[in-house]
Amino acid sequence: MPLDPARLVELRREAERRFSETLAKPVGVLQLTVFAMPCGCTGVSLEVRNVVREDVEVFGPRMKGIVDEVVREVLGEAPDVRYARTSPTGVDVVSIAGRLTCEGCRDEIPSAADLITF
Amino acid sequence: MFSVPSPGDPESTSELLRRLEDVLDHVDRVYLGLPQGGTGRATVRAVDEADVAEVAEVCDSHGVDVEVVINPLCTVHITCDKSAFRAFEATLGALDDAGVEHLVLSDPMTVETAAEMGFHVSVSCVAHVNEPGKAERFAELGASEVTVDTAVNRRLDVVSEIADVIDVRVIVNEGCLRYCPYRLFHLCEFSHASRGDVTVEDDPYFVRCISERLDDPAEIVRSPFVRPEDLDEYEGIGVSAFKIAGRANSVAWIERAVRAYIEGGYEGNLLDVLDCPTVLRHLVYLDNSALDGALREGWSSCRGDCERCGFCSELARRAVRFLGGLKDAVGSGETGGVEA
Repeated sequence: MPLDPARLVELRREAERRFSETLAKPVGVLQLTVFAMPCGCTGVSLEVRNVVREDVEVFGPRMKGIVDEVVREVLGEAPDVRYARTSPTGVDVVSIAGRLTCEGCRDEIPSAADLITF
Repeated sequence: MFSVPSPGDPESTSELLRRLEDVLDHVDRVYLGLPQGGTGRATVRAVDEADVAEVAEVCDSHGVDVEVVINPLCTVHITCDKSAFRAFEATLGALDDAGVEHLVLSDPMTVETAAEMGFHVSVSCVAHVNEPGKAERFAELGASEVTVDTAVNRRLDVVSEIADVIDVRVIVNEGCLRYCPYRLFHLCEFSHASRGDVTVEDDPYFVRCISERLDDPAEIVRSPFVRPEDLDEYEGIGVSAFKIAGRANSVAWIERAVRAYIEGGYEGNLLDVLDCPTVLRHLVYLDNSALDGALREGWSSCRGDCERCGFCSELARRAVRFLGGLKDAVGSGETGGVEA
């Protein structure tokens, strides 16, 4: 079944609304990206603005549900890893992603310096 | 008269000028960045001197001048090494041979050399000329014009004082944060990234740029852009040169912005025609009509005491609306926070 483009647009909007409500501040989702990597990982990434490390550390458990629902709807199953990627200073969150990992990446992602898993 | 941005290559420039044919009597310059010297903006095309020669021909065929921008904030690779400076002079020679008469430069040493070679030099906004005394120094170095620091765009008194010293050009549609603490460092990043001498994997300043506006929409209103409707206020203080920012954008985007300013009005989301950051227009609606009178009523007398003043915060409540999922979260569509 091909992905419905209109539904993808709606998912981006829903993610924006739910992140904003969860963090109680305006959160922009600039882009929803479905990805596949050479190693075998697949997932969905959301490019966000106005999210900082502390938001993920405090609200990670609630953000998990949003990410899981997006990935499940797009890829048919929930991700086994969710993470936020930060800018080089480690303060600003640049993107939030859910990934169906390949065997090799499952253990590596939690130890990546620029990622906060939740 | 207006200075219009070109993405840099001859084909895009030709397409842009073809689209703008009916308003070209209001355009005197088409500018493009020459990234080999570094520029103050992201560049979408790897333009070289041969491209500039072609663009100059395209512009000439439409009756407008070409203006080449070499305005890095960091100029150590040009001015602090004899052979590098000789290479810069050779570049100016090649531009002269290509028929280029107008340059935008940031570094005072480069301004002096180019002026001595006979170029019309407009000092870049990257040099942050924001008072008459600094303008005077650049005039002494041979500059013909100053593109003023956008931070003083709305200070009509300051712009007027600078215009008494030297010809002034105002960048009208730059939407950067007012009092932006990241600006110099972002420009420095572009200096190196546009030359390609460093690999820039992340743009952390751009992330903050959007985030801070979403967090406080009044920052969108405080941004020192000039509305298309307000250009006559500047003409009244002796400014007749206006620069449209946006050379990293598409031809269609540039055409929309140029037309708005030449026509002196824009109905709808003003963010549609503001550069830096263009992506914001998909998240936020800035009602241009709600800004009527703001320049005279508040902005032109702004002294930056936002806490006490509250003018822009109040204006933002009327003029700024969230779009998409942000609107869904807020409920009413007005700004002012998200209920937990």
